[in-house]
Amino acid sequence: MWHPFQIMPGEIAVSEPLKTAAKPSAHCRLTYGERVIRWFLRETDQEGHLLPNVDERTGLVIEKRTVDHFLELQVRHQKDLGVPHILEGTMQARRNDWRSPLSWDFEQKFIGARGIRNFRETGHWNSGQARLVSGRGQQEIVRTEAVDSLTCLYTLLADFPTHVEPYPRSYETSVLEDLSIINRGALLHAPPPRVREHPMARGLRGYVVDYPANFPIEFWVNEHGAVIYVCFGPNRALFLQSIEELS
Amino acid sequence: MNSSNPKMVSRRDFIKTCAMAGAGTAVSPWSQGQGPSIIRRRKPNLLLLSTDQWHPDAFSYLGCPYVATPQSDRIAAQGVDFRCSYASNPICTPARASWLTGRMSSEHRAVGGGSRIREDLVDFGQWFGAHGYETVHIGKWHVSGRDPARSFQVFAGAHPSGQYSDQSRSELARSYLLDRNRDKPFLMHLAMMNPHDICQVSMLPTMKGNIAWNGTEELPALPENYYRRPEESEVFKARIRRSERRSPHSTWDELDWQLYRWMYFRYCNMVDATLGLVLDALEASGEAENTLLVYTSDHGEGNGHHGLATKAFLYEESARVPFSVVWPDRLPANARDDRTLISGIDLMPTFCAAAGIPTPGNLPGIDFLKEHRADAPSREYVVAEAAAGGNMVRSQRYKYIQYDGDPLVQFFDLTEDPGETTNLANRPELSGLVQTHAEMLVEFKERLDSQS
Repeated sequence: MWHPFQIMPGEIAVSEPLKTAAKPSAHCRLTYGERVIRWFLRETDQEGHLLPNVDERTGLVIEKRTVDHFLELQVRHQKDLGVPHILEGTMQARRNDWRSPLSWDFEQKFIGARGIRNFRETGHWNSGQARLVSGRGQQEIVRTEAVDSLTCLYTLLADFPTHVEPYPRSYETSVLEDLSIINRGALLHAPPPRVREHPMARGLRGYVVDYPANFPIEFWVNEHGAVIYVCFGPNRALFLQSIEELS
Repeated sequence: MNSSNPKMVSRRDFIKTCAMAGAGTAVSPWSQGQGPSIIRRRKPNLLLLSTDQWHPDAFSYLGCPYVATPQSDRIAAQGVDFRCSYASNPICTPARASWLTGRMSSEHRAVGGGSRIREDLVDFGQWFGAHGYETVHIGKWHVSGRDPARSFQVFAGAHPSGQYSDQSRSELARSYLLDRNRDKPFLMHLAMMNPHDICQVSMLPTMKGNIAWNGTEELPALPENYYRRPEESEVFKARIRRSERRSPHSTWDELDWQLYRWMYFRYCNMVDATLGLVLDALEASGEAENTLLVYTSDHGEGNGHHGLATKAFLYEESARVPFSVVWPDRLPANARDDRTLISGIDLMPTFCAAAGIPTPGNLPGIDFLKEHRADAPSREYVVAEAAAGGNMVRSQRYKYIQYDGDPLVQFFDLTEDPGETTNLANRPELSGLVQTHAEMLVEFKERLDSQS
C-alpha cells in the first residue's frame, strides 16, 4: 500500500500496446498526463479502504531531437493552481549517464484574471558549474553553484539512461527541479521488491531517483527504453499518453 | 457586532469608507489621530509566509535529525524565533480565519466543516488595502464565506496538493516580488500547502508487508511520548482519538508510524526547499530591509506524539506552531524568545502597529512585538479553542486543557514535562494553580463576550 499503483491504478493505467511501445525514435513527441490526489472520499472500497479523489492535471509534452550525443528538447509543462502555470521552453542535454542538461531557456507564465505574468528561467551547466538566471527585465536573480553531476526530469523522460545499472549499486547526482532549484544528494537505486512485483510494473524496469527534498521518484521504463510511469510518492504520478514520430 | 460602539467597525461602515477613500472625497477616519511622523515614515512591507501543519520542533536549526530545512534555518537566523506561539484553534479554517480577522474562532465562527466566517468582520486584506497597501494572497485560502479575490487586490489560489503546487506558488510569489509596482507597500500572504499532504497519508491503512520503502535510509524513531501518555478524557477519545478520520490508525503498528513520520519529514523538506525562491526574490528586490516577515504555520502536527497524527487536539504538537519573525534593524538576528506568549489572533494587531495604522476595534489579541520588547510580559496566558469542543490555557509554565462535556482536566508542567506525559490536575499541592488557570479561561471568555 501507499503507492500510486495501488491508490490510483485506474487513473494512471497505460494501455498494453502503449506500455510495450517501441523505443522512441530520434525525433518524437512524448505526451504525459499527470494525476494528483486531491483528497480521500468518505466512501470505501470492498476492503474498507477510503477512496481517493484524483484530479486530472494537464501534464507535459516533450518534443525530442537526438543529434549524436546530444538531446534537443522542447518542453511544455502545465500545472493548474487555480491559475494556470505554464513552463515552456527549450533545453539542450548531453546523452551521458545522467542525461545532463547543458543549457536551457524557458518562460514561466502565470495566467490570471489580471493578465499574464511572465518570468524567464535560463541557465547552463558546464565544467562543474551550474548557473541559473531567473527574472524579468532588469530584475534578475543569478545563482552559480558547483555541481559535479546534474540531471533533470525532462531529460530523463526524453531519453532514460537504461544502460545505467542501479541493481544493486547506487550513483549520486544533483537534480534540477522545475529549472529553479538544484537538489543535491540524489541517489539512483532500485525500487523495493514489493513494488517491482506489482501487476502494473509487469514488463517494466524500475529506477528510483531519491533526494531529501522529495519522495523517491520512481521511473518505470519498458524494455525499449520508453518511460511509462513516474511516481512521486503516493499521491502524484505522470503516465505516458502518447508517442508520436516527428519528421 | 454592535455598530454603535465607536471603536467597532462594521463591514458596512468599512465598505462605505473604502468607497469614500477610493473616490478621494475623504480621509479615512482610521487615519485620524495618527501623528505626522507616522504618516511621513515609509511604511514597511508585511509578508506572512505560512506553511500548513508544521510540527513546531521539526527544523534542522532546532536539532531535529530527520529533516533538512536550510531555508527555515535561514529565516530563523535572520530574526527572532518565538517558541511559545499557538494556533487560536488547531485546524486549518479557524486558525486561518483568526489570522485574517484577529478574532478567536468562537467569534469569527469559521470552525471548519463548511461553517462560514462572519460576514461583518473585516479581514486584513480589506483593512490594509484601505490603508494604502497593495494586498496579495497566493496559495491556500480555506476560509468559507469570504471571497479572497474580493479581499485582496492580487489573488492566486492553489491546488490542495502541496507536492504538486508549492514550488509554483513560490515561483509566482517570486515573480510578484521582482516585478511589482512599487508605489505602495505590500501586504502579502504566501500560503504554502505542505506538509499538509501528510493528511492524505494519515487516511491510509497499514502498509503491512506492502511497504513502499527500500530501506536505504533509517526510519525516524518514535517519540518518547508515543509510549508515555497521560490520562485522557472519554470525550477526547471519542471525538479525537477514535474519530472517523483516524480510524485507519487502529490498523497501524510501530513501523507504520515510523514510515508516517519519515514521509512527514519529507513533506517538510519539500516545502522548505521552495521557500528559498521567495527569500532570494525578497533580497533581490531590495525590499528585504523594509519588510516585516512572519514565518509560521496554521497549526502543528501530531507526528506520532501521544500516538496521534494530524491536528485538532490541544497537546503541544498540535496547538503550538513555529513562529519566526524577521525585521532588519528593528529586531535582532539569530535570537530566541521563550517568554512571549503569542496567539494567531495577534497577527492583525501586530501588523497594524508595524504599519502605523489603526487596529480594527476591540480585537482580543496584542502587538506581540511590543510584548517582546517589554521589560516584563503583560500577557499572563494565551487560550486556544478546539473545533471538537474544548479549550487550552497556556501560561508561562503550565498548560490547562478541558474538552467540553467532560469533567476531566489535564494540567501539565511544561518546564518539567514538555512532552505532556503526566497529568497533574489531581495533585493537591497544585489545586490552586489549576483553579487559577480555570479562572483565566473564564476571564478570557467573558472578555470575548463583552467585546462581541
